[in-house]
Amino acid sequence: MINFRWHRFWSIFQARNREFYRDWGTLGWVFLFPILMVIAFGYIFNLDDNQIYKVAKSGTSTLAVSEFFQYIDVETADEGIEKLKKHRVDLYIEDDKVWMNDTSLKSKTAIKLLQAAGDDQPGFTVGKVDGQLVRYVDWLFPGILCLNILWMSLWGVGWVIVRHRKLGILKRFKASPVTAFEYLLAQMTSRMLVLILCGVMVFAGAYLLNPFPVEGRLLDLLIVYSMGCFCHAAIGLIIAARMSSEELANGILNLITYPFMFISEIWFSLEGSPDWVLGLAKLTPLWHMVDGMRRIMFEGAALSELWLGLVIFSAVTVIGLTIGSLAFRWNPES
Amino acid sequence: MQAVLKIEKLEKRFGKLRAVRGTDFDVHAGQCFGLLGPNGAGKSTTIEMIEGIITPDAGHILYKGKPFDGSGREEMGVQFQSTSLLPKLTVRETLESFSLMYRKRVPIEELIDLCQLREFQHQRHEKVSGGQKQRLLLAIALCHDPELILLDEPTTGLDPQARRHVWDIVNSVKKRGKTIILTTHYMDEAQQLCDEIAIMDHGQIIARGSPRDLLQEHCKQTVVYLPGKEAVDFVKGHPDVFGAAFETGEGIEIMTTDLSRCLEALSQSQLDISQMNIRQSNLEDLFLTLTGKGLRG
Repeated sequence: MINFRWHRFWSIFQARNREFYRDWGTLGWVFLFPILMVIAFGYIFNLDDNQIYKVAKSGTSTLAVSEFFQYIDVETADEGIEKLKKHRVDLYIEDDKVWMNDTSLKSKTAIKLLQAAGDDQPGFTVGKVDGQLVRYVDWLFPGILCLNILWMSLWGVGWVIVRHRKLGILKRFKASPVTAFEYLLAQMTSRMLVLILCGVMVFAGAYLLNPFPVEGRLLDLLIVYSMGCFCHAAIGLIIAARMSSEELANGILNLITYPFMFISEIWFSLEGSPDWVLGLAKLTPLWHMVDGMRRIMFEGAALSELWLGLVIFSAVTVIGLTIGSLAFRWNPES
Repeated sequence: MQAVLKIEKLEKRFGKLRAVRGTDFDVHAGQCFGLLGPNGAGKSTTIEMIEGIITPDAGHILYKGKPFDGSGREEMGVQFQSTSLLPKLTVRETLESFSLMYRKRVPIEELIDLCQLREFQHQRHEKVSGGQKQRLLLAIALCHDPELILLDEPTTGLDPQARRHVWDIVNSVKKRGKTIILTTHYMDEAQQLCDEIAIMDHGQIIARGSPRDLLQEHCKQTVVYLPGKEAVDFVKGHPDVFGAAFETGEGIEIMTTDLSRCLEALSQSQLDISQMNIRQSNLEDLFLTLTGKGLRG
C-alpha cells in the first residue's frame, strides 16, 4: 500500500517551488529557451537551400529526377497536398502538375530547381496549395515546446534528484517520515507546474505576436502537453532512482535525449525514412507528444484520435513513479 | 526500568573495514547518553544505524522494545554531523518546511525562541554563520517535539561561545525529560551534558558508565605535565619510575598514582621544573589510559 500523507508532500512541493522561482537564471531559461530555439531554427532552415528536397509523387510523372530530390510515393492527390501543406514534403507532383507551398522557402527553391532542369524537361504547370497554410515556423513551434519539455523534465527532475543525493539533502529527508514516493511526486509535480505554466505563457505569447493556426481544442492541447510533461519527468525519475554521480547522470540523460530529439520529427519530417526509423520513432513518447500537438493544432484532431500516445504517456508515468519509488536510494552509502 | 533504546550486537562493515563490531548498549528515558571516541571510532556509523540512514549488517536496534522501523521517525529528532538543506530558503522557511513533515509540531515561534533564531530568521540559511546553522539544525531536530534526539557532533567546528549556546539548548531539552544520544570528541562537552558515556575505539565500546564512575574506576592518577624535549627524553628513559606517559606536542604528560615518588624523581633530575603543571585526571586522560591515543587523533 502506498504510504502517502498530503502534509509531507506539500512540505517538499512548497520548498522546491520556492527554490525554483528564486533561481532567476533557470527560470528565465525555461521561458527563453523555446522562443530562442524557434527563432534560431526557423532562420537556419529557411536559409539552408543546399539540401535534399522531399517531393511527394502520384500518378505517372515523367518530370526529370533531380539529384536534390527525394521522391516519396503517395496514394492520392489529397494525401500529397496535405503533406505539402504541413511541410512534410516540399513539392507534390501529380502527372504533369506540380504543387508548391507558397509559405515555404524550400518549396519555392525546389520549384526553381525543377524549372531550371533544362530543355529535356517536359512541360508542367504549377499549382499552389491554398486554404490555411502552415508555415515552417508554425510547424516547428510545437516541436520546440516538446523539446523544451524533454530537457527540462529530464534535467529539472532527474538530474536535480541526483544532485540532492550527492549533496546529502536526501539523507536529511531520510531521517524524516517523508517517503520516496512523496518526495518524487513532489519533485515531479513542482517542476511540472512550472513547465505547464511556462508552456501556456510561451504558447499565448507566440500566438499573440505571430498568430498560427489552431484547428483543435486548446484543452486537448493542454492535456497532451501536460501528460507528455509528466511522462518525460517519470523517465527522469527512473534514471535518478539510485545514481549519485552527476557526471554519469549527465551522460545517461544525454544518451536518451539525443536519439529522442532526432527521431521525433522536431525539426524535420521523417517522411521517406526507412520503416524501421519510423517504427522506432513511434516507440518514443516524445514523438507522440510532438505528433499529438501538431495534429491537434493543424488538423483539428480530437483526443480520441490520439489514444495511443495518451496510453503511452500514462503508462510511462505510472511505471516511472513506481520504479523510481521502489528502487529509490536516499544516500549513496545505504 | 525499560530502556527506550536497546542496541544489541550491532555490526557494520564497509568493504574490508569493520566499522562497528558487536556494539551493545541501552539508553533510558530522560537520559543524555554520550558516545565518545576519536575520528573513525565508529560513533557516527553507530548513530546513523540508529537513525535508519545506514542498514546494519547484523544486530538489533529496539526502540521502546520493538524493532525500529519508519514509524519511529515521528518520535526521533536527528542532527547530522554535516547537513545540506534545500537551497534558497530562509531559516524560517526551512524550519517550517521540516515542521510540516511531521504529525506533531512545535509552534515555529517557540522553536525560534528556544534556538535563538529570531535575529536571522529571514536570512537564507546558506548565508548564516556556522554557529547559527548548527542552531537551525538543532531546531529542525526538535521541530516535532521528539522523544528521542540524536545529535552527531553538534558543536564540531564552533567557537567557544557558539558551543555554549548549543549546550544551553541541549540542557533545556534535557530538562523537559527528553532522551538524548550525543556523539562528541569534546570531553568538556561530555562532562557538561552527559549522564552516561560510552567510549568507542575501533568500532567497539571499551568503557561505559557515568563520567564520575569511569574516572574513579579507570583513572585515579594525577597528571603531571612537563614541557621540553629534555623532559620527554628523561621521562621516557625511566619507565620504571614514571609508568604511563604520553607525548603531547611540545612536552610530556605523566599519569601517576604515586605523585610524591614522581616529584622526588623529577626534583633529583637536572630538569627545569618551573613550568611543571599538576592536575587531576579527566575524561581525556581516561581515554588516553584506555586506548593510548588522543581523542581527536
